[in-house]
Amino acid sequence: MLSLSVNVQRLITQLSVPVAVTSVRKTCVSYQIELPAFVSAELAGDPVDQIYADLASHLDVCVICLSEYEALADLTASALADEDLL
Amino acid sequence: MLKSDLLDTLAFDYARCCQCVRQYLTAQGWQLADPLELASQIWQDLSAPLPSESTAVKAIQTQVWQRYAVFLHENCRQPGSDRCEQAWTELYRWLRQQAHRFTADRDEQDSLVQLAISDLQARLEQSPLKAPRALWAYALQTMRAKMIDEHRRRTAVMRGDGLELSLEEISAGQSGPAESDWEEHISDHETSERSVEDHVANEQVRQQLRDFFRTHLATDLQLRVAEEHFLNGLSPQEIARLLGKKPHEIRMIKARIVQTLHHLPPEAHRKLLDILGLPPGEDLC
Repeated sequence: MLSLSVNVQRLITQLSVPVAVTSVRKTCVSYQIELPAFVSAELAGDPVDQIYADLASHLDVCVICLSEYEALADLTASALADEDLL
Repeated sequence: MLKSDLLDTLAFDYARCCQCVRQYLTAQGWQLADPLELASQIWQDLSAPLPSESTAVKAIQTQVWQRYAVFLHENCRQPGSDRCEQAWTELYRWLRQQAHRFTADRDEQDSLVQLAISDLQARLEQSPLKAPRALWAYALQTMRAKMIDEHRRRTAVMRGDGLELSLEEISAGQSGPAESDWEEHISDHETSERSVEDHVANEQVRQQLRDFFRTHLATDLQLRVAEEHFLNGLSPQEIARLLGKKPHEIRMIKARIVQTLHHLPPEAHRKLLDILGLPPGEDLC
């Protein structure tokens, strides 16, 4: 039950944040610097939602950082964990 | 069951581990580390139960790219040594191998890799990466940034949502509503977290949230992800394993769910407030 509460509380916090649609905020720059570490940790199976809780939460509410994340996660997964490399 | 017993049943032994390591290193063009030494370290450290051959192979490969990134990062930061030069050559070749993901034009690929390598050399000369195992992702991010810079230089404008926006404006960042609002909202909500926790630990609320998601989420996959994450407390990685998808695919879906909930019509918005047990008048956004 506790984890349910944690995720719902996080949702409430996220819903309280104005969504960034067309501009990069100062905080976004610092989050984007962290993205390679985040993406690598996620690919390695680490619990990134706990280790990088702020960044994980930010990705839910910032479409620009989410788009950066998606691009980098796709690139990294294709380069390091592609089926062809198996 | 001991690790060795488990792996024996999978016919996954040290020899197979060495084969996987060698195969992955070859596919990536990584030649600086001794495959046997690397395989031996990985084999010793494999502790998690490996339920299948494919899981075992994945786990080994994940270990290889992480360890090799640390190894390469270390060598790239020893200027003057032969190893350093070899390390940069290898990183260059690896990026060259990845460049087709950014552009089909071979000349552009060459230029992109050169720019990225210069940037990386300057960066690593300054200081080490905080997370050396992220070297690959960092290098890819650098190359992507160079590609965007190049695109900006050529076009100076891009389109978004039907509006023509200057890139300078975008990168300068019009922050919109005060950035500090976020922190304030977070602390505003801290006091009500305990009551929320109590409130959601209730089957009735779970059912209401489930019904709400069913009404307002667009696809079955969004609904499944919402239920697993918000109702069952699973992380995106756990959901990805459950659904046989990549973690970032689930994270994207989860983000879209949050964005959908962010843009609910006022009536639905109020209903969500009620379900979440927030006091009347406490607006979310």
